[in-house]
Amino acid sequence: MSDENVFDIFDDDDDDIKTVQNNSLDSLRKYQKHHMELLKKHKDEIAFLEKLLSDCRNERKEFFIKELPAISNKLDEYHIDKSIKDEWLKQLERDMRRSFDESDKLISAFAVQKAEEFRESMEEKLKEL
Amino acid sequence: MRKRFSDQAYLFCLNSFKEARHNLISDSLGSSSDLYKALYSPKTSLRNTELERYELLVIKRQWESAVSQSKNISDNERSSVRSLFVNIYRDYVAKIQGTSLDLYFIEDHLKAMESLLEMNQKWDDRLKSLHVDFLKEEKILKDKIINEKSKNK
Repeated sequence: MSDENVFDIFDDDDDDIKTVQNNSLDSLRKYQKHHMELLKKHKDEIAFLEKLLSDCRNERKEFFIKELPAISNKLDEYHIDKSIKDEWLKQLERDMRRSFDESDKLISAFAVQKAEEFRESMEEKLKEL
Repeated sequence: MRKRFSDQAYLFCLNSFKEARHNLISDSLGSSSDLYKALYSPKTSLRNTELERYELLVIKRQWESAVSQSKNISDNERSSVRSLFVNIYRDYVAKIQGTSLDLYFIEDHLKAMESLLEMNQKWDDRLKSLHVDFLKEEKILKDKIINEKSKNK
């Protein structure tokens, strides 16, 4: 196994050390090696998608836990009538949820597109095996 | 096959919604005189119209900010960015419909723009028409507010 590529472990080409002679197994090893190499190649993209999802979740959490109460306090400070304040907070919550849902949809669509690209790369390789 | 967009297109749209949310929060914390004017309105009907106007301004602000920022994108990315944004924004605005705010005019323009993007024609003309329609809707709401105020005198 080379120092540079840990996935060379899947290259079990030496007939003297092969314990099982099997063409299907050889193809499966090549497939696995390619799959791992693709994952390694795309690891930054995978990490980036995970970060996008996590940032969106945190932003949503921050809004409900920190920002909404701060806005409620500010409206009190400005002596906005309670009924009007409650009405506005409800509308604000609705508008923000709508916006968060759009962001979630976008990230999901982005992830689906990346998964399709990944699958196409795998299928290209499968044709060669 | 599902239409594909560039990574930059997705990031652009995500950033647009994040910026819009940040502005909404900032407005609510006191930076928007339009919002607070609405919240201080004594009469319900006047307040509702003021809040409609504020909501229209928020939607318009997001659109105009995105259009302005898309001008800074490289030529080869711009089409993908605009195409995805128009698509997403149209969905978003469609969900706001069914409230008292009537946004059918935005949807009409955005539908036309999606086709135009594919043909890469007359984007700027349509932008101008949409901007004029935004101004028209804002004026309608302003006049309504003035009428409401004069009824109360």
